[in-house]
Amino acid sequence: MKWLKRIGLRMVGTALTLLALVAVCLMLLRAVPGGPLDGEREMPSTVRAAIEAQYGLDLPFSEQYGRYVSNALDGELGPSMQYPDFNVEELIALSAPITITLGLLATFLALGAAIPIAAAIAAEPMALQAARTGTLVMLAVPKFVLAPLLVLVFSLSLNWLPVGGFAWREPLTWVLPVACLALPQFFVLLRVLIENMRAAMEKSPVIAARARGYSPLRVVTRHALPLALAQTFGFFGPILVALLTGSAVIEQVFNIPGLGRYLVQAALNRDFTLLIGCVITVATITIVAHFVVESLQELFDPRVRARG
Amino acid sequence: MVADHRVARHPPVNRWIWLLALLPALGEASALERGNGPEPDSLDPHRAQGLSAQHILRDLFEPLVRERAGGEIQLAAAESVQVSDDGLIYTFQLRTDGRYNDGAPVTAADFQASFERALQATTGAPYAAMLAPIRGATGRLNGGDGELCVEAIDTLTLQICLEAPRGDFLRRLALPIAMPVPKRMFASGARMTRPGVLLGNGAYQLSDWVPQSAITLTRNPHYRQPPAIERVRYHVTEDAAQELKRFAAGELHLTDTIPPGSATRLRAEFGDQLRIAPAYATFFLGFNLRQPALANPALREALSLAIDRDVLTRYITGNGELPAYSLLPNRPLPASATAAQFQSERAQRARALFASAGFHRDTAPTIELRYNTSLLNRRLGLAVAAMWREVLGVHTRLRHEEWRSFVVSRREARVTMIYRGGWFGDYQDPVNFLEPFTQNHALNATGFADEPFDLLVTQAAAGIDAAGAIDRAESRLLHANVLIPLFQYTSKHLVSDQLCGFEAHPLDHHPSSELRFCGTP
Repeated sequence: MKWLKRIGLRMVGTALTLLALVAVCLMLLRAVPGGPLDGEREMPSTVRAAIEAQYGLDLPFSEQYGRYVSNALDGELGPSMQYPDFNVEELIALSAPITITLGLLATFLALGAAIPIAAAIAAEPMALQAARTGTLVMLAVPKFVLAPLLVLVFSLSLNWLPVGGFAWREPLTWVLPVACLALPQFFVLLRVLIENMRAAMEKSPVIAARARGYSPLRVVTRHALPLALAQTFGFFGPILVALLTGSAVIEQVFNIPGLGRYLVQAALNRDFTLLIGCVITVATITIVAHFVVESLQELFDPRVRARG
Repeated sequence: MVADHRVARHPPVNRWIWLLALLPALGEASALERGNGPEPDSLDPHRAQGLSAQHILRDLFEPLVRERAGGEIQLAAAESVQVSDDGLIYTFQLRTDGRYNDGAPVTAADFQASFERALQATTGAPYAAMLAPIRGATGRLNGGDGELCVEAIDTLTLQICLEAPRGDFLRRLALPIAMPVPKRMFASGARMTRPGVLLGNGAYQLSDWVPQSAITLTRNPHYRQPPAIERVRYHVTEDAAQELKRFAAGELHLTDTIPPGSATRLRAEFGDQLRIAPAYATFFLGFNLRQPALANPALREALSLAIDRDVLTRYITGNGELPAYSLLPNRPLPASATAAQFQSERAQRARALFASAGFHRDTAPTIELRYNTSLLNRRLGLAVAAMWREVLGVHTRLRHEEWRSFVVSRREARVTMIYRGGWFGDYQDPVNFLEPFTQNHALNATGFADEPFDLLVTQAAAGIDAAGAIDRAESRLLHANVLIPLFQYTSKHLVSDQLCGFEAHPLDHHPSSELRFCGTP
């Protein structure tokens, strides 16, 4: 019952957040100069008026908002203004799985590499310094520099991987984007895990395990690592959200038809139907990802569970 | 024994051969991989606006006529055209072998229904005004339902009558807005442009569309002359630098463009694969004449003379652009002697005019130059500002705005002083360049209002002494110093040496049906 109540409360909170987000997006789009129909060529006024009426751009804010929410509740987000051949829900259905898949792969890669490496080298005197330096470098190098560098090495010089594009049936097209997404997060996780591993080694359960004469491998994997991971859970939420909601830069550089790219383009094109659709999707992913991480944290960390 | 021995000698091959299945399908011999710029906005010929959509539409649909590189009109879906003596009635005889990709014949009724749809306000056709010369079209555009003078006389005969003679009418019929959209597609609504639903009469048919990734076309099995290349894939390539990398890696045969200022480097790297040709397009700076600070024509002329176009095209744009002293592309230097002078003389004259306008270096005005945010525009703005500062002592405030905000500022003309302008011809006709400067034209951001100029443009549009009228109209525009032409744009492509049949086109039209892989017929 406690879980059901929590999920129910979270859902109400999510719905209110999404309603507020739609209102904010609509208000901002009405406030910024330039509209979706402003371009190099001027279209006939009757054509412009007809398109405005189709999208409800001629309505006052309250009516526009009400109409949008009502349609959205029916599962209709309307046609994109920039790409009128497609409904927004179609574009999101095509792009979100790509972004989420790449994000999940990057998450697994970053975690899968950071956990064993941190466990193995945490005791090394230079490990923390190396991880800190790596984190600094990765955070300092923008993705639009890192991505072309990887392309230069692995695509143009070694000719191992394609330069860009994305296809579900061509896993080689996923490799560089996933690597670019995962690398900075890997170093962040590595640094935090090493710090937490060192702290865990000083904790009494680990000292007790060592005193009992357990092998160093067992001490690390069965006693220190779970403690360090529990401490690191707080970082998983933001990292997961950052990876799942896509990176417009990575998607642009590798020509990936993902959510992040639509989000940026929709804002630039004042494509309000697509923009709100993307914002709702990203917000939902964010809320769900945080909820999942919090739940997992509660499941695995008795201290959090005790706090309720 | 022999077989065992072989297995033993080559275990890695057998063990890892499954990896080959992961390799992307690159370099498919029969597929042309084209970089195409941004995602096409629509594949509905009536709703499409962007150049990237138009490239694909020229493969999917065939209008009545086409415009060749030299500007000549070539019959396409029409077999013949007759124009009445008064230039008001056009009678087209359609080809008997015109077919959509479902095998149905292309009829005059399709064109009639298509024109009517294009002119319905609810269709939302941004280019509908291109059909305005047709009698009844303006009424339709204004929301009326009067008769539109487009009639299917019989299955293959289409008659169109005009409100007044228009010298450029046939060229307008080569645009996507005049492509035939068969009536049976209308019922599909927005889904009419999906693979399997879209019906086109062009050399190719739509077989796959992955938004923001690629559009794949295959041969239209019913097209009269099968194109040499079986499959064409148009890739979304928004970033020119990334597109270049894909070309260098052999993933593209043809790029949409090249990165700014990279021509020299690419010439050294790719040699003849780099194709640069003059485009029917001009980059200019426009004066907002409503601003009192720019009211003095001598000041405007001085500002124009102070700019060294050679420096701009050689060191700033650097992609083979041609210095421009006139609005119309491919024109000899205008009669005004000043255009042909050396820059030092031009600068001297600029100073003299500046002084005659009552200005002095110490009391030079501050000018504002507004442009849409882009690296190239910023570099151009900085260079122009430096030239004005050096020659005249004028201070320039550079203002950049994101594209849609800029378009609104320019149109409203309240805050704009001097703005970045440019015009890509819809078709090769000077009237297309001059009309936006007529009074009350929606795109006239300068506020230029000159009755004789308007009359000359009307005369040129009607084809009455068109060449003379165009010369005089452009001359009036340049003498009024309404704008500062800076350079003529170029089309820039990297074309793989595996690809033959690519020819320069001022409008950058390169239908895939005209291309072939070298060594194939």
